[in-house]
Amino acid sequence: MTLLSETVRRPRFTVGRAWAYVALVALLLVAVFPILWLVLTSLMPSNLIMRSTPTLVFTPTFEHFAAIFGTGRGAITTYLVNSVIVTLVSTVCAVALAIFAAYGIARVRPRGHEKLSLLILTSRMLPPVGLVVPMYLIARNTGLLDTHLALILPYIAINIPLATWMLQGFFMDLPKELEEAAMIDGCGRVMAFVRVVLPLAGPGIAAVSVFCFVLAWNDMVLALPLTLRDAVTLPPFMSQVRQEEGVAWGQLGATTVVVMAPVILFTLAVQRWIVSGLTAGAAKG
Amino acid sequence: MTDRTGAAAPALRSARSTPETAAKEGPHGLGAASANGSRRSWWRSRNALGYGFIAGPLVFMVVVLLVPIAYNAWVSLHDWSLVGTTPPRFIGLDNYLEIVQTPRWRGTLLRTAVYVIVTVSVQVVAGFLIALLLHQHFPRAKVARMLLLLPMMISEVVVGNIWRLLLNYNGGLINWFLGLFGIEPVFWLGPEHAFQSILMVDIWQNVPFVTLVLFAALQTLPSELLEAAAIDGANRWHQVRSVIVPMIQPAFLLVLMFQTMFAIRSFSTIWLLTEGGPGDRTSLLAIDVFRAALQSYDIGLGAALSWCLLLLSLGITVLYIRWLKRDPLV
Repeated sequence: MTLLSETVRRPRFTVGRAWAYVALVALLLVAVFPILWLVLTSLMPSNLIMRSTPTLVFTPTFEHFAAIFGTGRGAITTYLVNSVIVTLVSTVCAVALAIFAAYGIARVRPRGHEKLSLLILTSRMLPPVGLVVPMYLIARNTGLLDTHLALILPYIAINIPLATWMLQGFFMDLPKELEEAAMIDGCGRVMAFVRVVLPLAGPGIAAVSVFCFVLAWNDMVLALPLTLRDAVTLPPFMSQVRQEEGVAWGQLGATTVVVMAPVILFTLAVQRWIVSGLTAGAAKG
Repeated sequence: MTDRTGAAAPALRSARSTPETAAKEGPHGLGAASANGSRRSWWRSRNALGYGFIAGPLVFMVVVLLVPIAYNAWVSLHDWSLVGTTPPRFIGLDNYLEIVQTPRWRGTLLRTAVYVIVTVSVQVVAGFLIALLLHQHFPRAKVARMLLLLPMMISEVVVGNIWRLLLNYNGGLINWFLGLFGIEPVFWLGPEHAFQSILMVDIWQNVPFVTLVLFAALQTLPSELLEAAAIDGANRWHQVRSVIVPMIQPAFLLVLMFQTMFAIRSFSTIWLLTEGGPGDRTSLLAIDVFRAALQSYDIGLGAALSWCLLLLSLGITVLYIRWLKRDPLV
């Protein structure tokens, strides 16, 4: 019974509980160890990587990070810069546009806003793979292929529905009276929006920005077909490092850590919104 | 006067506002269609303002997202190759027929179905068990929870590279670990085991999300309920089956739909691990969109494959929205 119910007092230590601890520790190992191993690999001297007997104790080296930020063959600087540009620009634009849409739908509530809301929810569920063929053709015909813009535009479009849907929820949660008070004090609706609603929705907007950032930062589905050489971002670059004898595992590990680190940091920062972000739409009808 | 009519007009009001709050909303509540005279222009300006806010993002979304997807449907009706000089030829639904009739593409559909069914069911069962486990009291439970969620936070490309390291035949950690028990090294990404490997990696990454949602749902259960069940003599299995599962059924539906939707479009991890190979052993729908359109340059067929994926997603979305309307919860 203690197994499932919420008891305040500390449960007695029983055989069942011992097994629960074993299970938890095993699960933690399975969940965390692969990620830890990646980080370790990125810090391991090359001669110790991929040996038949793994080494856990070694002097960490930053040679792989030095290599990927250097100028040699494994340098990722260009791709990193591309990733940063594409991600930041698309995130800022998507969030800005979504703020307008969400405020319009959730607060101004013009005629037909429910249908719009539904359209946005449906668009959010569309798989980006559906854009691969048409975007490739369009980019090829307009000369956008292999430019930053070719990625920025679809990332904005993909992020608008998600961001709008999440922000709608945040805006609806703000007490309407605040805005009304500002309007009584002489603000127009737009000023009330800028002065009162936006600052209050700050944390929500930050969370939404993280979701948009993560999507663009990690995307390979569109980056793979839409870039060739100049605009290649980190994910398609990593897919080019093929699994052959000559793979520089240390550098691949270091590059992967560079891709992973900001995402984990940002996600932890907005942890309490993870569920609503991933399932956006479930909470608010 | 008009304000009260406005409050009474249920037409477009959201389910959230009760008549009481609606009355409080005063002039900002939705104006009734019956508004007259000077009120009318106000009502109009309100709509205009709303559309003003929405128009920009909406137009952008339609032009960059929905129009290309419609264009994709048009492309899928053509025999369209990127090599050679033959212009695209309209062939109706022939590409779709080819997908259904050719063993190669039928295999992909079947493989995708197996992949989705296996990964999603294992995820839901395992995620639920872990959620039950976490529901007990552990010291440092918050830290443990956060660590268990890590695989969900890292992206598919990162997951792909992590498992490339671990599954490598020579010097991969998994083979070393099996070696400790005297098991011969396995070609994890070779023809025999590649499909199992990608199933395993997908499950590793996606179980945490199920755990997260179901754990949150478990937290909302009143503990009296289980105590009452226990007093009535229900053993643990009965408590789970007859009390917990029915009570958090909406959360189950939610994860089932989301996991299915995202399993169908699996791409990046698999692409990094196997590129769909060896042969086509790990080719799922999304992978074959790339292979057909960008490796074989048969862009019409690629478009048709991606429309199959879109249709499946839309089908699930429709189910989801209908369920949401019937049962707006979580």
